[in-house]
Amino acid sequence: MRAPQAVRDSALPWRTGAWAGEGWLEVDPSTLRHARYRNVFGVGDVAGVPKGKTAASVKWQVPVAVDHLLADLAGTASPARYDGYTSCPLITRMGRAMLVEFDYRNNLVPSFPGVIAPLEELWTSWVMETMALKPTYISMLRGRA
Amino acid sequence: MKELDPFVLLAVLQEMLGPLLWLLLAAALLGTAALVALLVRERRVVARRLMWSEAAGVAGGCLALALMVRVASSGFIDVGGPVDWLLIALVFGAGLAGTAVLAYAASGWWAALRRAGS
Repeated sequence: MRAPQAVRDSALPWRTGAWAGEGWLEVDPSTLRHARYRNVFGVGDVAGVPKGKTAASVKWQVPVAVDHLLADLAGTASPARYDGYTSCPLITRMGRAMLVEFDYRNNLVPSFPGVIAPLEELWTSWVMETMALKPTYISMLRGRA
Repeated sequence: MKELDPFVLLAVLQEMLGPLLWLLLAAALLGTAALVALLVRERRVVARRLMWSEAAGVAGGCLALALMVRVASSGFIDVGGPVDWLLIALVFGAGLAGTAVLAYAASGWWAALRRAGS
């Protein structure tokens, strides 16, 4: 997997390190602001950060980047930080899945603590995976979620 | 989920169900309104009708669960933890309450209109 050609051909990718070869954007992992071009932010798959490349990451990253953009426009500073949140529904068999959510430091960060246990194989997690995630992705693409 | 925004929930449900969402919401609203109007008109609860509505509600709950299992391509053999039982109870409860309300209101209004016609 690599960044799109236009990004790889630009001055935006990492120049050294693990992501240089694949051309992902050189952004700060917590603010998502570009290391060399302060008016550029990277969210989603194109961001060269240690975790992510999931829809859940995008959902958490966008508000942080937007908050920084708005603060820049207002001439203030934003305290918003992205902690690397990502979510992987792991299907363990037909009818059961684990809703594993974690951050940059691999801490488990469950969305529903005490209700949906992240390390438990659950039918509820399977139901979310099979019924709710695709409509959620499409709603995000439509800009409604 | 960062925060459970009701509009996000609505967008996802709309994506999931399409026009069926509006049909279900309309049925829920109309059914509730019909029930309230019937109770106001009759000023009492008819025990026999209530019992039959509740029996229909149990069937509605079972139907809701059967639909859920079919759409989710899985069965109750896959139930893993307490939250799974909670989900089953919620789906069954929604089917039961919805069907019971609709059945009570429909049979009540049917009887009332028949009385008015005869």
